[in-house]
Amino acid sequence: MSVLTLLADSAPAPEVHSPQLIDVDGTVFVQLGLFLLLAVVLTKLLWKPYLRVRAERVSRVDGYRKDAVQMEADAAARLERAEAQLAEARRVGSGDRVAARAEAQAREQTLLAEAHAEAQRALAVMRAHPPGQRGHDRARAHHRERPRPGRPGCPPHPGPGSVTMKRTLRLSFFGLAMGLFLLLAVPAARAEEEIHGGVGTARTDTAAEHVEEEHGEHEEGPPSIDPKKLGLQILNFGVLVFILVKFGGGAMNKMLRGRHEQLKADLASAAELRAAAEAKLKKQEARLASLEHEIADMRRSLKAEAEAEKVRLIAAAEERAARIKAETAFLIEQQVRDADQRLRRESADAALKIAEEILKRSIGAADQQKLVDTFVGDVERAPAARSI
Amino acid sequence: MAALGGSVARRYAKALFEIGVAEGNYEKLGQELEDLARAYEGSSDLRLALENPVVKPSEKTAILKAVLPRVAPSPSVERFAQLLLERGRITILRGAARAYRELADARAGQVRATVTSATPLGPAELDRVRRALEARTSRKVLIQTAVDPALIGGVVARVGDLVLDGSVRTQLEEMRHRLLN
Repeated sequence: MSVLTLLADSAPAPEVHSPQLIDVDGTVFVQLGLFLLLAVVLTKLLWKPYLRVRAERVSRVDGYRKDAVQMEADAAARLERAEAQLAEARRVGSGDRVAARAEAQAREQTLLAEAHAEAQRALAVMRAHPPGQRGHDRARAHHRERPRPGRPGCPPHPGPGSVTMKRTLRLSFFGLAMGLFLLLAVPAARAEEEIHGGVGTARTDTAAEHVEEEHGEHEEGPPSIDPKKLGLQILNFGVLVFILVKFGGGAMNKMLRGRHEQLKADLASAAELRAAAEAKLKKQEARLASLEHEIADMRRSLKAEAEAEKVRLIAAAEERAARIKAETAFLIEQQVRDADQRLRRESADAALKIAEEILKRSIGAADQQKLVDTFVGDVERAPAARSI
Repeated sequence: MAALGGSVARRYAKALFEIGVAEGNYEKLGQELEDLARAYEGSSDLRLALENPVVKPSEKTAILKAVLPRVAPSPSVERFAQLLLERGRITILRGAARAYRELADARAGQVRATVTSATPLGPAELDRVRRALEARTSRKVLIQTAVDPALIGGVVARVGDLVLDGSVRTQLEEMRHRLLN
């Protein structure tokens, strides 16, 4: 029934002598006003806060998850950047190492070539004369460390879903109670006013006449509330509330509790996810913060290793060169000794050959006689004659 | 092996020598044993026949019996040779003869010496050498002579294991060692 229809029907109601189930009169505007007032109050105090809390809750869970995803991405990007920088540092360090090794090898070649040349010279001389291995990132990391709601390092949201929701519900119930009070209290006050001080006086006529008269008078006056009827209506409402609470409250509570638990779980899961991502991000931030030192240490270490390798290679080359020289000296000495012995042997052989030839030619019977005499004398004089 | 063979030969020789001493003919047995050993060493056909494992033992015995009467008629030497053949010891025949001679010389108080010179020595020189060796060994010396021009001059005497070297060759070698060292 529209408002215009109601306004059109605000003329005197048709007279009937039987009681009406629905009595439409001027109070409908009052009721309509109260309804609108209640709607405005409830919208302002209940509906909007509810929507706001709901949105905050959703945004909080989603926000946590979004934060987690963002932080994961940040951590991965930083890790990738750190790995790239480390790889670059390793490449540079490796280059230093290669350079140092090349330098050492060049030095090694020089030393060995000198040693070989010297050895060859010495051998030639001997033969000729026989004796015979980031600032903007840190700034960016520092920028990311600034306190930001919902980000690592900031206190979590102050739980608008808990405190604000309770306050909103409390206000909503207060508004609802006020509206119900107005709906019930205004017509009741008017009825009491009519009974005690107003228009009609106590009448003792017959019931039917009184009813008809009163109908005639009331048709022009404000509507009245029958307390008994109101009591029954309240009782009826109470029974309805009891039935609803009795048979529906448990399920509603269960549903609300389940939803509450689900929300808590979602929130905890999202918070956990975000905490993990935050820890990972912090770890990567810490690593990035120390990356420069790490890279510097790595470069220093690689450079030191390269230098050590260079020193080791040069030392080994020097040792090899010294060994070559020593071996050459030994070889020369050996060859000199061999040549000396060979010369002595050849000289001795030649001398003995000459002596043998001379003796063969010159030994005669007299010499043989002297030799026999000498042999006999030696045998007789020297009992310890040489035995072979 | 040679030392072992020498030891075995000395044992066999000693056994035969004791028989000869007991019979009083050890000198004769020694001479027959010497002749048999010389015949064995001098005939390659005889050595091949007696040492060849393809030849039956009975045939070896027959061959030996055919040879023995001509060089060693004494039954003791014949049994000695057959015993060596049966026990596969015929190869030590030469060593046994040498060991027997040493035993016989020792019993007679004499020793054998080999005197080698660049040119043949005269009897007087040999006598002087013999007397010098007898004085050196305190035994009667039986000299065998040999000539080796490579000695150039001087004398080399071998008495048992003892070698007395007075050759020019050895003196030149000693001079060579002194020059090299």
